[in-house]
This record gives sequence, C-alpha cells and structure tokens, in this order.
Amino acid sequence: MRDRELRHLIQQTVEHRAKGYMIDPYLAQRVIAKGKENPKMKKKLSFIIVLMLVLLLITATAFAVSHLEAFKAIWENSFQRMNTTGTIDAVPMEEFDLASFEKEYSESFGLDRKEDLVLSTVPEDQDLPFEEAYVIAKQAIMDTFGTPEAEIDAMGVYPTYYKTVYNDSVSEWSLYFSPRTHTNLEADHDYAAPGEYRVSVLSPSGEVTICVWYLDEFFPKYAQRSWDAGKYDYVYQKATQYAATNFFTISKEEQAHFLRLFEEKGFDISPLQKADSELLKSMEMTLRFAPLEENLLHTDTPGLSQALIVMEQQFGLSPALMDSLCMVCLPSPASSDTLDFCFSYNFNAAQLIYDQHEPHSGIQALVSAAPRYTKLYMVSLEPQTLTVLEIHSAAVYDRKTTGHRLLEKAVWEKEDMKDAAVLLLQLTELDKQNADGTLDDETYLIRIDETMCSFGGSEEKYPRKPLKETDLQQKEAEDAAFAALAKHLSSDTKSLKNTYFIRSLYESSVQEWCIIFYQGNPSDESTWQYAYQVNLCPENGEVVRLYGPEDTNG
Amino acid sequence: MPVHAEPVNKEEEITRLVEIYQASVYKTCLMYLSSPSLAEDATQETFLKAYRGLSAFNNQSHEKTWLLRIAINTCKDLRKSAWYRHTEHRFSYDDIKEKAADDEDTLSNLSWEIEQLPDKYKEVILLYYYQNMTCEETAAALRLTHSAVSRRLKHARALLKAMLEKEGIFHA
Repeated sequence: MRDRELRHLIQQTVEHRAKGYMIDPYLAQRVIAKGKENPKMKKKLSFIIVLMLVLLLITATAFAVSHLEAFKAIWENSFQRMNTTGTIDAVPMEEFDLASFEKEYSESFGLDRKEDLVLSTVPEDQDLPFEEAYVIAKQAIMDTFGTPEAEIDAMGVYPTYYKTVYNDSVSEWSLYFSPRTHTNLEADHDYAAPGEYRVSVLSPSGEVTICVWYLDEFFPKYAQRSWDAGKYDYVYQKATQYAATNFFTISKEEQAHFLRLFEEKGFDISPLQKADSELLKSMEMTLRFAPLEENLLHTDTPGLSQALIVMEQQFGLSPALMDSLCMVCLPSPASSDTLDFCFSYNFNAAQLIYDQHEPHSGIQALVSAAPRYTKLYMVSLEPQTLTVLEIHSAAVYDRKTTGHRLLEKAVWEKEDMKDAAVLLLQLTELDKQNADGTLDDETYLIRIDETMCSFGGSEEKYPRKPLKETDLQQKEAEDAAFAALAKHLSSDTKSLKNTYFIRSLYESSVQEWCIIFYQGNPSDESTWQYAYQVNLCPENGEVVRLYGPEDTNG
Repeated sequence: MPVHAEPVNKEEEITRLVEIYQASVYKTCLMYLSSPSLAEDATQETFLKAYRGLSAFNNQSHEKTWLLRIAINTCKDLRKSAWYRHTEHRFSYDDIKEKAADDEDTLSNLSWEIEQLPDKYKEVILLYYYQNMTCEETAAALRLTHSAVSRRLKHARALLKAMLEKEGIFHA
C-alpha cells in the first residue's frame, strides 16, 4: 500500500469513526466561562521525597496484601456498572512491579509526572475503612442535596480506593451511588432521574472533597424535595444552570411556583425571566438537535401555513430554502399560552445531507457553513384565530460581520437569503456536473472553493486554487523535481530518470506540485515501490518538501 | 494564522480557534481515547488549556500544532486518570463488525486497528496521516526529533500493515 493511499484511508477511517459528531456551538462559551475560574494548582514533589515515599510504599506492601480479600468482598457485594469485567480492579501489591510500572509511566508521561501516578488498590490499616467512608459519603449527600436516606440506601454503591503512589497524604475513597435498576453513565452522559452521586472522601482524615449529584435537568420533584430540606442555594443553582435547557419546559405553573420560592428567599430571578427572543436563543440546543421525526415543516396545518407565510415574507425563507439549509420547524419547547412555531438549523437534518453526498461536495460545503449564519426564529400565533402575535429571531453567535458578502456576514438577513439560494443552485450544479463526469474530481473541488470564495468565503477555509498560466506546468514541474532530487542525492538527472519513474499531481488545497518517484515496472502498479516525493511551489519551482525513503517508505 | 502573543481579545481568539479546530481536535481525541464522551471532555479541556495559555503562546509555532499538542497531552492525562484506568472504554471489535455494513467493514476494522496501536505510534499516525502534518510539524507537536518521528512512522506503518494483512483487509 502506498503512502498516499494509506493517508486517504486513515482520513476516511477517522471520519467514519467520528460519524455523527456534531459541532458543539456552546463549546467556546463554556471554555470562556470556565477559563475565567481559577485553575487548580498541582503539587510537585522533590525527587528525594519521591524516593522516600517509594521506600515507604514498598514496606507497606506486605500490610496491604492481607486486606485484598476484604476489599474484594466489599466490591462483590456492591453494585457493578458500566463495562467493568466483574473482577476486582485493585492491584494486589505483592504482584505490583514498581520498576516496570514506573518505566511505563515515565515513557508515557515523563518523569516529572510521577507524582500523579494513581493506583486502585486496597486500604491499609491506618486508612479509613470502607464502612466509615460509606457513612460519611451518605451523610454528605443528605446534607448537600436533601436526599432521603432511604433513597440512597436503595442505590448501589461502587467503591474504589485510590492511592497516589508517591503521596500517601492524598489517598482517597471514591464512591459512586447509582440506581440498581439501570446505569446512568452512558456514553452521552445522560444522567436521568434520580441521577447518580459521586463522593470522594480523603483517607484517613475522612474529609469530603467532592460531593456531586449528576442530574442533567431541573426536575421539579427533586427540586422541591431539596428545597423542603432547606437546600435553597442548590435548587436555585440547578434552576439557573438549566435555564437554557429545561427550566422553561416545565409547566407554567411550576415555573411560577419556583420563581415565587426563589423570590421569597431573595434570589435574583432575572436569569429565569427571559424575554421571548432571549428564551428562543436559550432553546438553541433543543432545536438544533431535535429528532427529525419532530420536524413539522412538511405537515399541513392552518397554523403552520400561517407561520410559513410569515417566514417567507419576513425573513426570505421559503420551505424549500429552509429544507436546503437543513432547517426544521418545531413547536416551541418552552411552556407557553400561544401557538408557537420555531425554525432552526438542525444537525440531524445536516447529517442526512452528509450521508447522502460524497465528502467535500458542494452541498456539504454550504450545509456546514449554514449553522454559523442562520438565526433561530419563532412565530407565535393566537391559538384560536391564528392571528400572528409575535415574531422573533435571534442570532446564536455574537460575531462581528467582517464583510458584505454572504459568507463574510455574521448572520444572514432577509436580503442575504437570495444570495444563499443562488449559491445553493451553483453548488448543486457543480455536484451534478461531477456526478455525470463533466467535471473531474480535482477541478470540481477547486470550483467548489472558488464558488464559496466568490460568495464571501475566506481563502483560509476554502483554499483550493487552480494553476495559473504563469505557474509551472506539469512538464516544468517534473523537470524541476528531477533537478531538485539530483541535487539532494548529489546525482544527475539522467541517471535518476534511468532509476525512477514519476507520477505527478497538482495539490490545489495547498497549491503545490507533488512529484512522486517510484521504482519498479511503470506498467504494473503492483511492482511500484515508493522512493521519493518532491513538493514544489508552482510559482517559483522552489522545493517545499522532499521526503526520502525513511519518510515515505510505505 | 498564528495566535497573537497578546491577543487583543482572548474571547474572540478562543472562539475563532474553537470554530476552526473543534472537529479536528475532537476526532484526534476520539481516536486516542476510543470514547465519544471522553473525547468531548478532552476537547473542552484542550480549548480551556489553550484559552488559559493564549497569552503565553509562542506565535512562531503553528496554532494547529500547538492545539494538537495540548490535545494529545490532555488525552494522556485523561488516560492516566484513576477513573479512566478503572473503566472499560474500548468498543468491542465484535460490536463494530456487527454494526458495520459490508462496505464500511474496512473502515471499522482499520479504526479498531489504529486504536489498538501503542500510543507512541498512534500519535504519529494521527498527526501525520490524519492531520496532514509534515514530519517537522509532527515532531514539534510531540516534542520529538524529526528522526524519531520518521522511525515511529515507519514502525507504525509496519504494525498497521501487519494488523490489516492479518485481518485479511489488505495484502502486501
């Protein structure tokens, strides 16, 4: 297999593995919010202390071995979840090969990371026993969240004892409390009710360092329970935390109830009282990721017909254009007294387009650009008369417009939709020409990028460019490559031509000529052996890269 | 475009980096960690570290190289965390084979094989082949010498080919 083939295959493989991945539009916001918090400082140990701790650890080994059976019993009686093998994961200290462990660790993370080395092992005599750690953890959950003891007792507990190999002072019990009936810790981190608790208890001090309730939504039932137990801060924090996802989806009565409770206790309720357009923005994730079965765009109801007229008149978005831009129509996820229709780009609709087209198709280029520019829209109607009450639109990203053409604009307004439709037509035509063979693949990709740039796309994002007339053409590039290789090998062009044959390719994405030197029988590809590769700048013929057999021997 | 040594607006800068490199960082993390949810965590952590390190970033380096170096170190940190070591994150080969349609078998198998590679080989494969980095860029991202990257690439290719041939996916 040749290097280029392998590269192509690996790229396809990674794309295939990541199939279904959706861009997270809130990532930057979360990063910025978290970035403003103070980062944790890490402890560093001197090498002398590390050595002393190693000696201490080794002497402690004998004590630990005798406790393994007891720990195993705890484990086996506990709830086991996820894909654990069912066998205890603690390392019996007598089998612990410190030397090779350290070696593996040092190779992987560098010697300076040894202080982070953590082992799942068994507690020692001086450590906090599991029974005590469990009681402390349970109390912490009750104190923090107002969870009734019976509910915790009904959960399985998954205990692990972690020893920081080179730092005895930070050993800890980590206890996960999970429902016995099913596990919540799925791949997508969906912590459904009643959630899962995680408590870390330091040993031997018994200090609780972490007490977390993994619960992905604001559940009125649990919120009320925590509130009744006096955990006002926690409930308020949960409500504001999920203001963007589900506080507004609970019933109007429940919203009013909690707002009243918060107000009575002096909490700032403004984050939970959003204007409609702000509320629309907060529902972005729900709309963007809604299942396609919920899409109302092609249903036929008087209310929707009315909303579609508004969308076309106010925003220039016809149902056909919305379809092409992967937009869907959904009832408002928020509780409301009006008949609301929301319109949004939807990642599941985009995924369908990705599945239906070749990678790098024109349609994909547009669809992948659309979420950055399209707004969220909501049309509110009077339920009985279908009179239009309110029309909202909200741009999702706070971006600055950098230019006047479609793809340079921060958001697409009504006047841009005509451009979007024309761009769509042009890209569709390119896809068609490529499919029927009128356009070869390389020219097709160049034309897509050119088209995107002509509608304001940046050259950084759409970099493919055709060869200019003044650029080195194929024959000149090949001659230049032979000359460069001859210089590199202190040989001469003639003897190189007797030894190697070449294949040439203009790589439009980086604007380079790529000349590959092979040995073997040119007419029998199975005999080809990759030897050298010379990449040249087509403007001046300079060598950009030269790979030797040590680099390119596939 | 390099990150400015002292960006005028860190928020804008990190937003731009997230927009351009989010998918790329996620996919590298996914192949490294074999778990979509962990890859998402690692992606966020990568950009968080980048955000915090923006002002100290040497603008002579390429920002993609810089980000991927952070991403790989973040994946290593996650891999060595107690929680990761304690749980089973790899997807089952049989599961993949069952799920994959015929024409997707090759890709699923190759994905599996890449994820089984030792880390030091997986890193170079992902950066050199998937991220289209040159040997120099790969070396810079991994803080290795050029010759070490070349050696690792050679071994990685040999390992990968042997695995694929064994599975009957490719023949020499």
